[in-house]
Amino acid sequence: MNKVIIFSPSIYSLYTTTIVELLLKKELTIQAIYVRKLINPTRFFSEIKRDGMRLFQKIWKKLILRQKAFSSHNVENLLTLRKEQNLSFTNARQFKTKFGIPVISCKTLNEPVVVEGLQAHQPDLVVFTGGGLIRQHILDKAGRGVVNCHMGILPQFRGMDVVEWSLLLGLPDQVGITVHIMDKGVDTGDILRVQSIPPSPGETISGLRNRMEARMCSLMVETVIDYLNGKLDRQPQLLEQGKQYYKMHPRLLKLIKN
Amino acid sequence: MQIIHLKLAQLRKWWEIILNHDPHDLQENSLTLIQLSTLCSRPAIASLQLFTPPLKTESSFLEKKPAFKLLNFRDIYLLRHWLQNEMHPQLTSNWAEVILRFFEINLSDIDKKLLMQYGSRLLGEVAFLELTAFLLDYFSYSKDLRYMNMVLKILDQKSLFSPWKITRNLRLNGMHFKSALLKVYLLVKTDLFLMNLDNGFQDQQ
Repeated sequence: MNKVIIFSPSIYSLYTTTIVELLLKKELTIQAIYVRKLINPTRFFSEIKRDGMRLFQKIWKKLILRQKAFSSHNVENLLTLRKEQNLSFTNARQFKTKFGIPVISCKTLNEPVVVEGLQAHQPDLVVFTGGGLIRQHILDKAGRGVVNCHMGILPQFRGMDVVEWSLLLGLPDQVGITVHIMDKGVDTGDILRVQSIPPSPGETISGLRNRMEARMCSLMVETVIDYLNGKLDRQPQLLEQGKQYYKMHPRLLKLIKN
Repeated sequence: MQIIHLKLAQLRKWWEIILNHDPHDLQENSLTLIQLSTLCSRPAIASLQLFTPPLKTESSFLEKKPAFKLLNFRDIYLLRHWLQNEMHPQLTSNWAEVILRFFEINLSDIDKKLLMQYGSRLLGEVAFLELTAFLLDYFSYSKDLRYMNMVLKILDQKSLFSPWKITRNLRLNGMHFKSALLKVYLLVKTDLFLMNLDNGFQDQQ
């Protein structure tokens, strides 16, 4: 039976709990869940440096509102997926209580405790659901690799805010998601599966992102299963076919929103 | 944002100070001034004798593998010169990508890094502004909005672009003057590009 380890950005991540529950439904063995500690000044400062004031919006949505952030029931989002699939776990610790899966807190996912865990468990795969950069020494010990789902089409759109960048550049057909193996670069690893998710007429950017988040869970689970069963090949990226994008300035964001 | 609210009266005041400045300083900053004059259609400036950037080091610069820490002032002039004259497009593009990446990652503590690299706060500031002007010109050349995005983030640094500081430095000489001149150039040209972008998006819709 295939064994996987999960990397998570926080114990409250709905994206993580959704993926873990879906993987358990597919009868995969989850050996452990490594979770980044939330109360950590180093993490706070590095994230505020990266996200700016948007970090507070993220905290509000992901840690305070959580399921309440998805108020509309008529559109596809993480909440509708969870209802459809009858998923109930909202906290990574619940997997420890119900299934005895170890949940280990760490400051970063590159710590010795993670290395020791990988050496002890010898997983077939690591599923990354967020939590910062992963260093080479971790990537090397992750069996067949660390799998991530990127909210953008690779190799064209690497980096941050790529949904917004695709729209700004007038390429709505290049809005989508990609499951790939992580390497030392930013979104430069081998591609496993790509899915285009063009915006619907009248859809807002946050609505589109919510819809994409739900699709990311499904695509991640399908891809992990197929990859572990040898049904998928890794496709190396042709980096010259794309660019790395960075956080979009509000002034440019306004151009899309108008 | 500051540039959106850039007052025309303030701009005219700055322009007056630039025109009334010592011609020697203007010559030394002619690369910027030619662009400013094109932008603002003031032929008086274009008639000034051109300052040629030091091109002697070109061969050594051509051999450098793009890395931000290797950039000195001559290299920056060369890059801007190449861009203006559409020379070595691939190499210019590689350097533009390296500079963009460095600024994106290090913007929050860029002043400390530039102070270490260029030896003084003022030289670091001028190098930073020259490189920002390079990124803006590269946007103009490539139409790659990632470069405009970076320039907008830099212009958000209110303490660096305070109108009071610019006006004061335009009355001084040397690097202070150059720094102010570059700031005026960046503010004016970015504002112009944003206007064009707004119009372009309205046309598309």
